[in-house]
Amino acid sequence: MPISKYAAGTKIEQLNLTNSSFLQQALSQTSSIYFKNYGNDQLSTIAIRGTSSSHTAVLWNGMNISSPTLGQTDFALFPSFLLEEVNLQLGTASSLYGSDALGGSVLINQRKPEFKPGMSLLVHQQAGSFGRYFSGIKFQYSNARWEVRTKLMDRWLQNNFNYNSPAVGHTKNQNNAAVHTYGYDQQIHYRISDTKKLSFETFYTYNHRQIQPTVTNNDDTSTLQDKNARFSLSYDGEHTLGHVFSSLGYIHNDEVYNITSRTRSEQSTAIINIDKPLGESTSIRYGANASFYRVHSDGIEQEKKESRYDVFASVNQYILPAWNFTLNLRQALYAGHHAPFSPSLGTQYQIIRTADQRLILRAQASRGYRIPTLNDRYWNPGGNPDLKPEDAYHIEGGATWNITSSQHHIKTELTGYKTLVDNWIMWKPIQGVWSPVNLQKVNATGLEVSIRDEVHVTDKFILTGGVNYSYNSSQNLKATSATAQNTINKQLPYVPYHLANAFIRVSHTHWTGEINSNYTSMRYTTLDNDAYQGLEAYAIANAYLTYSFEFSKVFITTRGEVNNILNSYYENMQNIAMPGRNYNLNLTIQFKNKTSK
Amino acid sequence: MKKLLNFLTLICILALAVSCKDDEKPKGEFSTGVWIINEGAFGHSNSSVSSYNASTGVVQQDLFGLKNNKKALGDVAQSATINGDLAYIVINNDNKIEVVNANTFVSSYTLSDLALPRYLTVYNGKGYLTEWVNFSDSSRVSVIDLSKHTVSTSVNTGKGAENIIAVNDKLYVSNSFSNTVAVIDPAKNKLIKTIEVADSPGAFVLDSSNKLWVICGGSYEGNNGALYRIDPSTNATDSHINLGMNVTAKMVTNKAKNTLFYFAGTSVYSLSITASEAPANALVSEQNATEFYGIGFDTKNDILYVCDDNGFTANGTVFRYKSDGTVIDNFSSDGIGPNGLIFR
Repeated sequence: MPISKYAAGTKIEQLNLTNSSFLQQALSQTSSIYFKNYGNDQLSTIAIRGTSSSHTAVLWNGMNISSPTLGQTDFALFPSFLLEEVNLQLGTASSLYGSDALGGSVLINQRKPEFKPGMSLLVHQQAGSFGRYFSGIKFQYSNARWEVRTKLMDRWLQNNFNYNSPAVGHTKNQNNAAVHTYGYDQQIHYRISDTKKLSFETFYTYNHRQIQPTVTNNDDTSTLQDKNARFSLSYDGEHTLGHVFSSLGYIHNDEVYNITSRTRSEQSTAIINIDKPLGESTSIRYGANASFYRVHSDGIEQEKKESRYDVFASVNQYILPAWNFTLNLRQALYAGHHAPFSPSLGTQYQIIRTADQRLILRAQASRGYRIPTLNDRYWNPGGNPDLKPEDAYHIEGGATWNITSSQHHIKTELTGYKTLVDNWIMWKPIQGVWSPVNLQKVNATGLEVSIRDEVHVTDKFILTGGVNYSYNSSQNLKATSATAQNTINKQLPYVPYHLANAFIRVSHTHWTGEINSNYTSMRYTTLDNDAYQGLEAYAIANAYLTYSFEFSKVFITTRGEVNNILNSYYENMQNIAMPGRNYNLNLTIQFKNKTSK
Repeated sequence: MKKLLNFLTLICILALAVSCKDDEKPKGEFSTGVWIINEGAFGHSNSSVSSYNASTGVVQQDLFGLKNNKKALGDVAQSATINGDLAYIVINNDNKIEVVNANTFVSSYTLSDLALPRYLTVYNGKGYLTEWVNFSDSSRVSVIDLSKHTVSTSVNTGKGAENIIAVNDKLYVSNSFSNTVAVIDPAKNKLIKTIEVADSPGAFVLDSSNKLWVICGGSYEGNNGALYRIDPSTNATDSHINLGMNVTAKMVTNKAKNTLFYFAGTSVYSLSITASEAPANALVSEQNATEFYGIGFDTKNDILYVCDDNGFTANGTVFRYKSDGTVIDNFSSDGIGPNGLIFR
C-alpha cells in the first residue's frame, strides 16, 4: 500500500535491517530517536522527536498494531530477521496513519513479490558474548503464479554480563536477564493476473524474558512472556475504480507477567484503500478502516470490547512538474466518540534537478491525535472513561540536497520541526487512587542534520562516511499542582537534547569494515529536571568486519562484530545496566537457484 | 573517709558534666535535623534520605550517596528506624536493610535476603521486621539478631504485615491486606492473639493514657476508614471511630500524645483522643498539593510536617503547619516520593 506519494513534505527513511537483531537496533541508527531500553534486549520503547513511547504509530501491513491496553509497542519483540521492509516517517501523520502518529510512524510491510521463477535458501547462525545464539532459516520458492516465503528464527541470550555501575561501587554480574525468542513469518502471494494479486501472511513471535532488575537488586525473579500472532490477507489490484488495496487482518496478543498476571487482546481490522490518478498531475486516494478490539486483562475487570472506524481521503496535486502539494484528511470514531479531525497539508519543490544535483525543499503542517488506551479508560481502579484524546499540532520544514559526481554521492538533509501536544495523558494520584488525566501540554521543537558521502575510489574500493545530529527540546508547559511550578518549561524526562551518530565504512572486493559511534547527551529522569538524578551522557563505539564470497551458486558471508569497544558503562533507564564490550560472530550461507525465462 | 566520699562525688559530678557536654555536642553531621525518607519510584533504585535543617531551611540531598561514594540506596525505601548510633533503612524491593551510622550516614552493613520488608522496630535489643513475603501467602515478623546481623526466627502474622510497635512486652502488627492486628509475645516468638479491626490497618499510636490506636485505610471505594483503640492490658478493642472516607493508613501524634493526625488525599485531619466521632472538617486542605504520602510531627517544636509525592514524577514537597493547621511554609524533599520523616 504505497501511500508515501501522499506524504509530501515529510521525512521518510527506509531502515537497513541487515545488521540488527531487533527492530529497536535498526531504528536507533536514524536520528531523533531515543529508546528507553529496560536492559539489554529487554523491553524497549521508543520516543521520537521528544514525544513519549505511545506517540509512535506502528503499522503492520497497514494495521495499527500498538497494544490496545498499553498503547505502546515493544520494539524488542520484532526480530529483524523476520522483517522485509520497514520505513520510518518522522513527524505527526495521523491524517495518514491514524491514532498515535504524533512523533513518528514505523511502517512494516512486505517486500513486493516479483513472481520470478526460482528458489533460494538462506541459513544464518550467530554466536556471541553473554550466551548469545541465533539460528535462522529463510526459504523462498516462486514461479509465475506463486511466491512462497518462509522464515524461522530462534534466539537465546543469557545476558549474564558484568558491569561496574557507580551506584553499586564494584563489578557485578547481571542477574535475571535471560531472553529467549523464536518466531516465524509465512507469506503466500498469488498472482491473479499481471495487475492483480492476493497475499497472505502470518507472523508469529514468542518472547520469554526474565525482567532485568535495577543494579541494586540481587534476587529478582520476575518474568514476562509475550506471544504475538498476526494474520493478514490482502488484495492488491488495478481496476477502473482505481488501484484497490484491501486487507483483512487479525491479531492476537497474549502477555503473562510473573506467570499469573495475564493480558490478552484480539484485534480484527478491515481496510479498503482506493488510489486513482485523475489526469497527469492529480491523483486521489480514499478509503476506510474498521477495527474491533477485545481485551481480557487482570487490570480490567470484565472483558472489554471496542470498535473504531476511520474514513480518510487524500489528494496529490502537481502544480509544476517539480512542485506538488498533498492534502490528507482523516476522521476517526472510537467507542462512540469522535477523535480530533486530522488534516495535513504538505508540499515539495525540486528547486534543482540536474543530472548531478538535486535540491528539494519541503514543508508540512498537520494535526494528530492519540486515542486513550483501554487501560487509560477502564483500568480498575482509576480508569477514566471521560478522557479526551491527545491532540497535536505540527509543522516542519526541510531541505534535501544530493550531489553526484563520478566519485562522490553526497546526501545532505536539514529539517526543523515544532509539535505542540495538548491533553497529554498522565497518571497521577487522585484521592489515593492513580488515575489518568488530560494534564500535560508539551512543546517539542527540534532540528535534524545529516550528511553522508559515498566515495567510489576505484571500481572495487568504496569509502562511505556519514554524520547524523539531532537537537530535541521537549518542554512541559503545565504543572501537576501549584507547588510543582518548578516542572514548567522543563525538558521532559528521558529526552536527550543532543543525539549524534557517525560512521565510516570501507568496502573492497570481498571485504567490508565499519566503525560507528553514537552519542547521547544527559537525560533528566524527573519533571523538575533535578540534575543530581539525571543520567550521564555517553558515547559508544562499535565495529564490524565482513567477508563475503561466492562458491558455485552458494553465497557465504562471515561477519565479526565488536560492540561497545571502549567498554563504557551507560544507562538508557535509571539504574538499569547495559553491557560493556561484547563480541558476535555471524555466518550466513545462501543458496540461490533462479531459473531465467 | 568523708573527704574521699566528697571527692568521689565531685569526680562523679564532673564526669556527668563532661558526659553531659559530650551529649550536647552533635555526634555527627546528621545527628540533628529532619530526615526525609524518599522512597523513590518503583523499579528505578532512586530512593534517598535527605536531611532538612529547620533553622537554615537547607535540604541536603541523598545522604547515603553523599557519604558512600555516590552509591544508590536501593529500590523503594519503605521506612527507617534509628536505634542507638545505627539507622536501619528498609529497602522494600531490594529485599534488604541498609544499616548506616545514624550520625554520619556512613554505610555499616547490609542485611540481605529478606522478603518484601516493610517496617522495623527494636525491642529488648532485637530487631523485629515486618515482611510481606509475597502477595498470596502469610506475612511474617522476622526476628533479627542485631549483633550477628542474621535473622534468627520468624513468626507468621496474617496478610500484609505492615507497621509494628512494642507495648507492654508485646508486639502489635497491623495486617494491612486484612482487617486484623496480630499480637506477638516476643519472649516466646509466638502469635498469641489476632484482634479484629477495620480493613487495611496501618500505623499505630500509643496515646497518653497508654491506649493503642491503629488507623485503618478502609476497603477500596468503601469510604470506611476507621480508627480503632486497643487496650493493651486486655488485647481487645475498646472503642472505634468511623471516619466516613478512605484514608491513608499513616498517623502521628503530638508531644502530649492526646491528638491524632491523619490524612486523605491532600487534607489532614486532627482528632482528640477523647473524641467520639470523626472531625467534621479537615485541619488542613492543601490546594497546592498533588497527593499527601507521608506525615510526621516535630514534638520539640510542635510542628506538623506533611509530604506531597507530586505523583512521583518530580521531587516531592514537604509542607509545614502549626498544630492548629496554620500554614508555615513548604520546601522540596529533594527526592522522589517522600513517605515519612524522622526528627533527630
